[in-house]
Amino acid sequence: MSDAIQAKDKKGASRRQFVKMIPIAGLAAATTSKSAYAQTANGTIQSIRIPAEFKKSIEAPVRDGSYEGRGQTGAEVFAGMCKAENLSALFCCAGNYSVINAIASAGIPCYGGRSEGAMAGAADGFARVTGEVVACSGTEGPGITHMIQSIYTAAAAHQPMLVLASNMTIAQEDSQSFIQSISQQELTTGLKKYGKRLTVPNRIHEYGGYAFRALKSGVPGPVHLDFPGEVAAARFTAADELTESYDKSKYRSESRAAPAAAGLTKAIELLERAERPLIIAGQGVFQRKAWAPLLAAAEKADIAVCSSGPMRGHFPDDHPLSVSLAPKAVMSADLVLFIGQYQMPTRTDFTLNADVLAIRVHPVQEDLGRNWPLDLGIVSDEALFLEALADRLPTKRRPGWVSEIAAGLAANQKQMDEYYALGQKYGASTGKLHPAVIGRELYDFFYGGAIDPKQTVHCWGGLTNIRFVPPYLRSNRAGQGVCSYYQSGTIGSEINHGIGIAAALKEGYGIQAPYKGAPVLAVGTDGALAYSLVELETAAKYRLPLISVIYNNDSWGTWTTADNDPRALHMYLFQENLRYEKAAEALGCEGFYVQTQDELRAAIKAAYDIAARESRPTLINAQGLREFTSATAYPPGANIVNGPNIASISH
Amino acid sequence: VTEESKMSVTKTGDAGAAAPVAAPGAVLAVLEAYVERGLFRSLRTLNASETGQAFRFKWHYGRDFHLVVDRPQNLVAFVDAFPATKPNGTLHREMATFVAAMANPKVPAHRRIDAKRAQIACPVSNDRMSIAAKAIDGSFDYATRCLIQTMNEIYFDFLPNSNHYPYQVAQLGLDPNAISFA
Repeated sequence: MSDAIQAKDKKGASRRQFVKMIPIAGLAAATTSKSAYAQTANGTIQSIRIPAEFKKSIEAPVRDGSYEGRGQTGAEVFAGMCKAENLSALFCCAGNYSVINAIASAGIPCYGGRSEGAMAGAADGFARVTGEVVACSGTEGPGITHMIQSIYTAAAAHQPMLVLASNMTIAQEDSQSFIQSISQQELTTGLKKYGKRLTVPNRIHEYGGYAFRALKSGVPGPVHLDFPGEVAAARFTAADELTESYDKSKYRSESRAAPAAAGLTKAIELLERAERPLIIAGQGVFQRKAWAPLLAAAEKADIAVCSSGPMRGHFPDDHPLSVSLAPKAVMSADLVLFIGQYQMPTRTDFTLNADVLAIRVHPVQEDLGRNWPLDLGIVSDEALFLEALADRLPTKRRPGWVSEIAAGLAANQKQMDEYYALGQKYGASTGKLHPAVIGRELYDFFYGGAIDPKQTVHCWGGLTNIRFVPPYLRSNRAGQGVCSYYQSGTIGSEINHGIGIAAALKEGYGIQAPYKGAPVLAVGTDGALAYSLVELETAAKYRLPLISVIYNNDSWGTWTTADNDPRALHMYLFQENLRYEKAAEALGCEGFYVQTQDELRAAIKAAYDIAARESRPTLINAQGLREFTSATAYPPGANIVNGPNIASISH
Repeated sequence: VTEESKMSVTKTGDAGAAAPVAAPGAVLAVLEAYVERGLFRSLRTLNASETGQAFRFKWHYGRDFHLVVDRPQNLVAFVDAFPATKPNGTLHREMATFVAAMANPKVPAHRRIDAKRAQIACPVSNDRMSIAAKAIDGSFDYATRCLIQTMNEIYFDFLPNSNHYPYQVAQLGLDPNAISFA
């Protein structure tokens, strides 16, 4: 125990008393802005504080990109291009200095953190709730290699993320002059939509055009540019020294494919004929901001909708036609229309019946027919198709189908209630928090209580809590929900995503503008903290309104796989009762340790107040029990949920 | 366990040398249609006899499913689909309840199994549970479709919502590293 923690414990008395003080402590923090570490132990320990220069730096004037006078460096040319393309934000670690400094000076919101991997994850989170192009950056060898996990995660979720990393100079290649040099582009093979190592300085604008064409056209994905020193430092005194130095309206197009008349007619015929039609609205519906025509088409003809993909809410969970929480109704669909489904499931990935007919709408012809045999394939932009469908689809009422959806929702709610009752029972017998109780408390506060149920953006991860927590995290508007593990299963991505999401909400960027400043909820597990805990310092530094709720079960949740291998079990176990919230406090956040439902409820309230009133991050360490994962010891135990479903983590 | 679940299942095929699909009949037509729809793959007819026929194909979890037709008994069955199942044990009892519920009048008509046309049961023999459909009205087409629907719902609804995750990993080959049930 550190001196600081000892000092705090002396003041706060016993552990039991500390827990009892949670509501009071939380409110005190909310009203006085006094961090738990604002006090010194004995006069020798200084408070955590944000340096005065930090605020001055954030507010420093923007440098305009002019060729007059000293001209512009390659890095400044590229930064100007990013500004012209409305690059939403940059998340980085120190390194790639000339490029990140130029981007910051150009007036693009920038966030500097503690590790390249976590900050790339934050960029991913920012993109997921805004749908906008975002950038991340790191230094040479150690930086780009650390970013790989987050690039992989963003690639699996088709995020429009611009990956920037510097190389040393071309002149140094093969000289072993300094070991940070690395050949980067090979590292991101398979993870990017486009990549290029820039080697000819005056082509920097040309290749910037390649990058933004890829980022803003078709199906999104990461784009990776690396800047040798000769390119970043090159100086230009006029735009005509650069190749293809055109305006963005010249080097890329906003033109999109509209559905062919025959395909649209056939789709309408199939929908008309179906008794229980279902639209699975994937990521493309979000990326193309097509939620309004989706809603119009669904309501016009009583078509069920389930949103899929890494982002949720482009069809509201609280709409009576939503089947995201009605898996039994999903199994009744006799026609499914996939739209914006960037990652196609196979026939056994999605819980549809054996006889269901299938239509797929996708902007890229080459992907039609992949994994799932189609009765009709249509090449079209998602927004243009849904607008045409909403316009031409005849009005039709399907009372039987609507009734079945309602019954499916009721059946699902009944099961969740049963899990909740079990969770309470297990909690009473063990003195620990079951994830079903955590899920219900989060729902009651953020989505079922006094707070606008469309307000709180969330992201979630973890494999042990899937059937218990995510079903309670509702997405009632576009960009409200993020499945951090989508397709990648990247442990730790949830807190990193939460940092980027909280940055988007703090600024009220893009579609999040109506909820500017609202607290953000990141739900994860103790395993995640190995990949993200220290980055909470960045959340504290930028005063991000992030509430992290960690389900602490003292282990990797997959420990049950060692059930039959006793000598393997130790590899899955952590020390028990770890105090992650104290580590968060030491990084400038608030922290709460909770073991009971009442403690959790009070901590959520206190954390919300801190986030909403002071825009500061909190970590709630919810102590669970490893054995809750076991289906034999505490049924039903952990399990994965098939899609399409509010809690599915694939497709 | 219901009386229906005590129906015996006779193995009529031999899981020996697989041959290309050639056998005609209602069951084969149903199976081939599902291959076309991407539900099954690697469909093979196994040794046929005057009284029956056997098929093998890959489906959930990439597992081999053995479907046997017993003409004299008007039965079509996924034989030994669930190994290590004790008669009247928890899995057997819960499965019997689940499949019986598929004929419940409360189930929507398009999902309900018409008990006048087909009866589904889950007999256990030598600690191996089969899922069988008896064609009450003699329609193997209907019975086969009901059987496939039942198995689909077992994998999509019953198993994920049961307490049998360890069984799925140990006996059905569910990969604990997988993030879906595919």
